[in-house]
Amino acid sequence: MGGQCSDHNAAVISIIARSLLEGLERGGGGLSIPHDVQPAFSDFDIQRLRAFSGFISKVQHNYLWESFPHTRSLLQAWMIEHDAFAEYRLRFPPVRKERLSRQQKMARVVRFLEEYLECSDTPSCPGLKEVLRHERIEWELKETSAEATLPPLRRPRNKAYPRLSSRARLARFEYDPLEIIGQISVAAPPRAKRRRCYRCYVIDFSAEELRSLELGWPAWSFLSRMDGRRSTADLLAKSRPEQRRELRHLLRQCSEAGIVTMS
Amino acid sequence: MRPRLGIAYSGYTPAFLARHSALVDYVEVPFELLQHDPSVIEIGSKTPIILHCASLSLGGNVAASPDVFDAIKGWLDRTESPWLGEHLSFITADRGLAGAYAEEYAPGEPYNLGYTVSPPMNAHSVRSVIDYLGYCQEKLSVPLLLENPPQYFKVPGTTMRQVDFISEICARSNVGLLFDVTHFFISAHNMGFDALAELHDYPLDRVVEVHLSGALEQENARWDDHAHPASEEIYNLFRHVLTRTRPAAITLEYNWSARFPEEMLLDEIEKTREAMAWAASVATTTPL
Repeated sequence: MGGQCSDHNAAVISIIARSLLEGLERGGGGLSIPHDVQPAFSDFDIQRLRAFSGFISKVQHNYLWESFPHTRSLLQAWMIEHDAFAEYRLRFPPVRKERLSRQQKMARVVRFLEEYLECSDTPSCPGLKEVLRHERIEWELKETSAEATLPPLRRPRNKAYPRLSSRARLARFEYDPLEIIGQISVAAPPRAKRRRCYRCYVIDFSAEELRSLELGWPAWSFLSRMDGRRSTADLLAKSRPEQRRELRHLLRQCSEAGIVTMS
Repeated sequence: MRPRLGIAYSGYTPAFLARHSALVDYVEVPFELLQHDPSVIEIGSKTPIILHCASLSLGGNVAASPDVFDAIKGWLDRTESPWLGEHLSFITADRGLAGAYAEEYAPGEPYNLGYTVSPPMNAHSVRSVIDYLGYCQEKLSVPLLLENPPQYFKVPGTTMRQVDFISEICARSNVGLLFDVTHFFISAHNMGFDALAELHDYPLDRVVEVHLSGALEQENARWDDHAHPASEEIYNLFRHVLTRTRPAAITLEYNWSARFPEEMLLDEIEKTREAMAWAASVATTTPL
């Protein structure tokens, strides 16, 4: 039965299994082969084995795509999905002793993909980083548990110290992720137009809704300076006089929407 | 008798069956999923289950442990599956033969890839598979079906075409086959052979079940993809297979995404039934 196949077959199987588990360098020089079996591997396609390593790793992370469907589509459209996961396998070979929750594994893959897309060896894929970050923010917000009821504000709003609530995130993008997502197709990667864009994400637990709002720069800048240590008055003082009325209105709306908390 | 049509289990399956149970004759459930989440068996209260497996490592050098066999037997009994489909692949391997002993991979245990890989195909591996098959059949209460694996690269030591490897195993045993059309399509592209021409030599008379799924192109190769529908090329191959054999069951394997669109699955079911009807009509007018 299984253990009685020829020694040669057994060695080949073991070498391939080990290589797939440990991952392979992009350069392809990573196969460690005992001397007596080397002739059998003389014309072996190591690059294809590496791609297969990435394929297996990708399939074993299929659950990731429930929360990152557009990232996946773009990785495929740009044809870097297997390379990305081959690199991931090299960095994080599956280790039995490891005990990570699914959420922890997802977070690790996402962090890795963000680094991978920044790496100079990775082909340029305009807009892919932005879509990954967009989906990460949405995923993180959905993982946030609903806050306890906030205490009522006891001082005048202009003396309060506003900060972004845990239900909200701000992000600045060089490409608008929603425009990219709208262009995703199986035929070809999207032709992204570079356009700096500012977004505010907020999750409304009562309505079970996550919203992504595009902001103008003044509003985004105002909200991003809210750190709980500067009062409303200080923040407004740093803004242009002609914008202050609008920003006060914005603050009121954001406070009512749970985007900003006041203390 | 027309083949039964089933779907591979995924997160969307219970809701889909609640709305469209009449469209599906069975659900194919992986043994490994039942081990991880035994509650999946509840689907069997309304729809028959066929058990699928990726744990025996039929093409490898390390037999599955007695615990694995006991677990498989247990699920075969509980699901009342008529057969067990298993890949003609390896999934485990002896660590000692790899030239190094990696303590981090669970000391004392073989390598476990968690994914099936096409084995070296030669006379030695034919003998090994036949021996192991005999051992497996003694332990299991139902017939075992061998599924053709996709070939992504030529495995060192391979001296036979896959069709010859499988034919030789069929000639020396009474094993049935699970023919994965997509795997065959992928192998043809990646290994550079003509799928239709190669099918001429395939022991299709031994096919009991057929699998269909999508295939993705990347890095100049084709890859299995259970998150996208089968292409027209794959359907053409499928229709050709149906003119040559009458499987008992056809499984649509769209189980890698819990978001697989319902409309798309309905389309695939309809397309598959049309192919079955067409093949049946060809059979009544054209002798095989």
